[in-house]
Amino acid sequence: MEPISEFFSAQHRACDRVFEQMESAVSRDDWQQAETLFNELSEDTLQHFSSEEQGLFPLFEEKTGMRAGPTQVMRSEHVELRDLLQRMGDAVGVKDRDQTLGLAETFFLFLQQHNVKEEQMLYPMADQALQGALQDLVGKVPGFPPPGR
Amino acid sequence: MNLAALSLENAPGFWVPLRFFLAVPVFGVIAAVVLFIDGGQLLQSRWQAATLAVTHAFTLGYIAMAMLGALFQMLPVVMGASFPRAERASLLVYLLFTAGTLCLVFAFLMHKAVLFAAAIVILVPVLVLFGLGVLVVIGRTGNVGATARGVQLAAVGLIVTAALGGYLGSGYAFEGLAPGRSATDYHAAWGLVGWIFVLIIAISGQVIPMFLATPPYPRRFNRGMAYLSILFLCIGSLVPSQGVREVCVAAVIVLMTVYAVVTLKLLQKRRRKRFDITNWFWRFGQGCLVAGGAVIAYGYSARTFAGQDGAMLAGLLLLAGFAVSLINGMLYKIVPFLVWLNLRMPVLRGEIEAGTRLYTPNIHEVIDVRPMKLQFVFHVAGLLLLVVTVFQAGSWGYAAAAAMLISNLLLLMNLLHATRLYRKYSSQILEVR
Repeated sequence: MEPISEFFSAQHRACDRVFEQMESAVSRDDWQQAETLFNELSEDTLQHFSSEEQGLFPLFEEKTGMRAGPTQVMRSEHVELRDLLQRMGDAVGVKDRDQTLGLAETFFLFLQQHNVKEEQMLYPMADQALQGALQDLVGKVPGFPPPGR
Repeated sequence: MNLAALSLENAPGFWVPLRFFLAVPVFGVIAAVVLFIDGGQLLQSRWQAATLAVTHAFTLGYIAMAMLGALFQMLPVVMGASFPRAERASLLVYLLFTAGTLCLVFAFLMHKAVLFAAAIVILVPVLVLFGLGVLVVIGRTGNVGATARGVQLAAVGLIVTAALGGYLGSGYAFEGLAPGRSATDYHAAWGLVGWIFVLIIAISGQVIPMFLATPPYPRRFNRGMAYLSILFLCIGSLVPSQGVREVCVAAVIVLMTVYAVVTLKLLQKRRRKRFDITNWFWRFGQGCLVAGGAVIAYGYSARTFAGQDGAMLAGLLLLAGFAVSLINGMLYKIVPFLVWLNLRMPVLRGEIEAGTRLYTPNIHEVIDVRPMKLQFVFHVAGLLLLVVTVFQAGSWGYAAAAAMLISNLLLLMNLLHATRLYRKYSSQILEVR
């Protein structure tokens, strides 16, 4: 059982789907749809980041004693991703197709390498380190399933 | 697992992979020039010295050059596997590998024993040590994922290929040593299958779903393909029976075809529907892989191929078609990303105060899509013309060489444009700081 890997990786996949739909909406100049999908993407992504930053990371740091390590890198990458997301939102707002698609590609590639690091290294490590502490995540991470169910 | 390696300090500097990547089209240009001078005569037999010069300009100067650079970048970032003193080690590998490859290419062209000796003395230790280094640094991370294992298997392939190459080269370098031609077949098979094909299987398992937003490869597919390729290669090399060897060749052709078909199916299911030049290069490359496998199969059953040695055509399709296309496409994905990432690195590392406004070009602005499309057209034209040249020497050879020359010059220009942009904006970052 790898509840942390499963839960957080599924959120990555879900955000990817919304991103892909938004990108195709921009490609076919459907700006109304693009804006709706962008808002959904932004909301889901920011929620996922805060679930990690407020819930998973502090618990991970507490249990492993690693405070300046991987979680710090992930946090600084979140800052960059938030900035890209905001600039992408601005570009969607003014219906600038080239700028939106260029920022979308940048956001997507940076996000993918970020996700790989989380899914292949951080989450498996968290699944091991937090085995007895999953209950603590339930209150802090919206939607996280209670252990033993 | 080595979590400390996630640290951004461990990401290699911009020039570590870029040095290698910029050398790639330069060797493409060298290959095209040799081809042009020769007027396509060299495609008539794989044993001519000029043919061997062009082949090694591609296999070492183009393909291995790109792969070494990519591994120096990828191992620390994706697998947490860092070479000790990575900056210095990569520079040393780059300088020696480039020098050794130039020695080998010119050794074939000029028939100089001393150049062969220099090439062997430089290339064999560098490639063997690099291969061993890859085995050790990945081994130390404890990572046993399909990508990590595949890259380790490919490193074994590289070591065997380099050792066999050194043995073959010694026949040119030192009087009295005359390795048999069968060793050439093993050298080619280990290079093509054990090193190039296995590495591509391993890397594509990771990067295709990630960068091109396709569904993942089937479970255990990449791991199984890599192990089976090496297994058949070992059996075919070690069992002294013509029948067994032919079965192994057939098995590897089946593996290649299955891999190409599965990859093409994944690319067809791309969820991102917009234009992507990497997708074009990869589709074309997989098509060449299928065609190359078919040519080998045909050559084995019918022995000759329209009066030609099938190995020439197969080599062309698998190296200049399959491997080169994939690398070319991947460079257009990786280089713009690295430009952007390294320009943002001071911000990511917290070296620039938060809130400092700093313009960074987005990835589409690093290399414009039009010159990439143009290069793709010349790349495809060059390969098709080369195929024609195998059957019809003469003026077709000049056309093929010209198309290949233009394609590689365009690739070089596009990559240089990216590095110029990096220089320009990184100097602005220094001013902000």
